[in-house]
Amino acid sequence: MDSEREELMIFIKELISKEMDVIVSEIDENIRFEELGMDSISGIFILDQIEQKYDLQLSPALLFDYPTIHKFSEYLIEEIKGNE
Amino acid sequence: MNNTWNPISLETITNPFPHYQRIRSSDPVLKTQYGDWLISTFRESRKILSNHEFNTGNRLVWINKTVDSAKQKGYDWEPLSKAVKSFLILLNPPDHTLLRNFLISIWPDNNHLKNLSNHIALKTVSELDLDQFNVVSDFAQKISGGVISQLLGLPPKDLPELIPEGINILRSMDPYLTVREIQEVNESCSKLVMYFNDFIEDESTDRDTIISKLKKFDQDKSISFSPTSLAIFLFVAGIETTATLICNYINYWFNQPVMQRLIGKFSLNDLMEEVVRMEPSVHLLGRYNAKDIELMGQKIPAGSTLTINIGAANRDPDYFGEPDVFNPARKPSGNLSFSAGAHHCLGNQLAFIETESAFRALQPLLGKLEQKEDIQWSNHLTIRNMDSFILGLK
Repeated sequence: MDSEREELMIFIKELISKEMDVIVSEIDENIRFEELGMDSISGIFILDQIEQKYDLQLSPALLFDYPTIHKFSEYLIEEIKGNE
Repeated sequence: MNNTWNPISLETITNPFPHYQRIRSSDPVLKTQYGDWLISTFRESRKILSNHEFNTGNRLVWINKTVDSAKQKGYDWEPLSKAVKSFLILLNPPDHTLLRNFLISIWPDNNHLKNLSNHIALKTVSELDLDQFNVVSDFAQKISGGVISQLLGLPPKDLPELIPEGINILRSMDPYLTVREIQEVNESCSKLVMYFNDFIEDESTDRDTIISKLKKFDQDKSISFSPTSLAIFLFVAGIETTATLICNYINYWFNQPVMQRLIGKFSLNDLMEEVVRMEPSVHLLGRYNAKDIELMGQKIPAGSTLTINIGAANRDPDYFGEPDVFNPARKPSGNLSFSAGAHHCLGNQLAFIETESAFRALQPLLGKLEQKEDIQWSNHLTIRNMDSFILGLK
């Protein structure tokens, strides 16, 4: 996995950690967001942080279409590269 | 073939019906990846909408929870809560029944509505720049906005500013809004809440307008509701869904070859029924089930969110023969475009009256006009509407 994707996954984990009040090291990137405690409300605020950092427009529906950190970061990397 | 429910894709925005058809064929009652149950058939949709055991209001619950969460992060989204709290489509009995019955009791008669619609439609046509105009904002929204604002008692001079804010507020009914989009909706809510609060405060209770009568009802009331929110609901619901019907009707005149041949052979009412069947303004409606149910073999636990896909249900081949064919003679007629049951749209007849007025006012000019560019559909989910539909002189 390239460093850009790793950095993105760490960023997402930090956002989830802050939003859900869980320790970063305990966040499994292959567990579904809902199993991490996220819902449609917490999801929009996490997404907003990602949008602002990477200058993207991201529908909250994507958190369900790509429901783990692993899958979502895979999708995001392509969007970020497309944006550059 | 991918049969995952994909409401935000470009395909679904530009022409959702093939996607609807694939889902309906493979999974007519589908547990989506978003957690809701998508209902795509006519009979099951009608059963749910007509049955008082299925409630509305999930959207209001979500909005209020989101506003609370946002407050902890420093966002003030209270105007959003205030704007939607008495939206009729989000209420259940007994409040819904009382407010609905009140509105029915004060609703103007059809003759008055026809005269008003004709007057506004003719005035709107006279003001068109025929070289090029947008059917959406220069024609349809001006007619529906003009009519509902007259009925409410709003001054016409305020309309140009109110209409875009009102249309933006309707986005609050869409799922999957981002923080930025909710911010924008909240700003529109803030403006309209302030406007209608002031207007209602200054309004007397003896005018022959809906807001005047609403104010009197509020003073006599036995239930708790927000006159400002209900007024906003009537305003926004009265504009966009009817404007969308007007746009769809004109679109079908230009782009459904059979439609021009059928004018004169069928009543305008039959033609409008068939347009609204094929192109409902509202595509998605939400309900939740108070008890465990089973639909087409799927066991759905109590408290589940049910998303009724009106756009799909209206083209169900098990109910409508050859559903993608424009056929105003079809039997059964009847569609779910204005919902069913207790929440059947109060403005159904008004929408048809306005569409007829709009069409008749524009009809003498239609032969001289052509479509200048492809229609741009908005990315809204609940109401499928156009951003632009450009006509101009040939």
